[in-house]
Amino acid sequence: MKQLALSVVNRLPEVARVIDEVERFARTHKVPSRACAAFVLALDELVTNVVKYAWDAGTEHRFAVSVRLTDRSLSAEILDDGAAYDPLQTPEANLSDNLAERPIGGLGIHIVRRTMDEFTYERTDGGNRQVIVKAFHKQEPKA
Amino acid sequence: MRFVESRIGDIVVVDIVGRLDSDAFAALTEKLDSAIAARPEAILLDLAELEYVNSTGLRALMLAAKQIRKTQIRLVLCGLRENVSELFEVSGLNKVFDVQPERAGALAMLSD
Repeated sequence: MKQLALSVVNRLPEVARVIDEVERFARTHKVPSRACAAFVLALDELVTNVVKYAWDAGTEHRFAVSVRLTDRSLSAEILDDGAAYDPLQTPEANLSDNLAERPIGGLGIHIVRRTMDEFTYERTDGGNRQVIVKAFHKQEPKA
Repeated sequence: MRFVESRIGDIVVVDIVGRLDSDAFAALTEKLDSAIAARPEAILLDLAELEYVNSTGLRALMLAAKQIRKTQIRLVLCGLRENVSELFEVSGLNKVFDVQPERAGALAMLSD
């Protein structure tokens, strides 16, 4: 198992850094590109939410993102000590075809739900623990 | 992210190049506001060079679409890469937007 541990500050530019580092990690270890793209997007959505909403604006905090890679999956655990927030309680997104009726928000968690194989949340002692897992089949080298 | 804008007859074409995320939200909104203000018949967003979009980027596109809906301007998207196209499907945006496979076809359709 390969691992990447990141300590992240609650500032928006940090999201791009997390994405860069995770993409580089996945590329180095030859994760199939489609699985990597979906995983990185889901991680972007969750990390962005923590940065924006876990603490009061103007206060600086750190949280932990650890990515694990096995032969069959990429997973990430996001641990923060901010306000309790269970993303699994988010109502289903309104995907109406009618633009006028459709709210413009609420897509982030919907995307995570639809594209990840596992998405779990746990309120820990004073914190939030979110885990996502994306499974894949390792591509065999062509003969 | 950067934009390449051109005008072909009554159509404003905007190429969105790079990554459309939280950092790019304001820039895209501003760019589309100015495209709308030019009062073309149609706005074509060419996404062939769009490598990455997240839900914030999708929100910027939906906001623009809602604004454009109030005008007589037609909005068409083209050139979506596979990852972007899949995200549109997951988000149900393929049904909200007029999405064409590629630029030439979209321009021909809009010029009719």
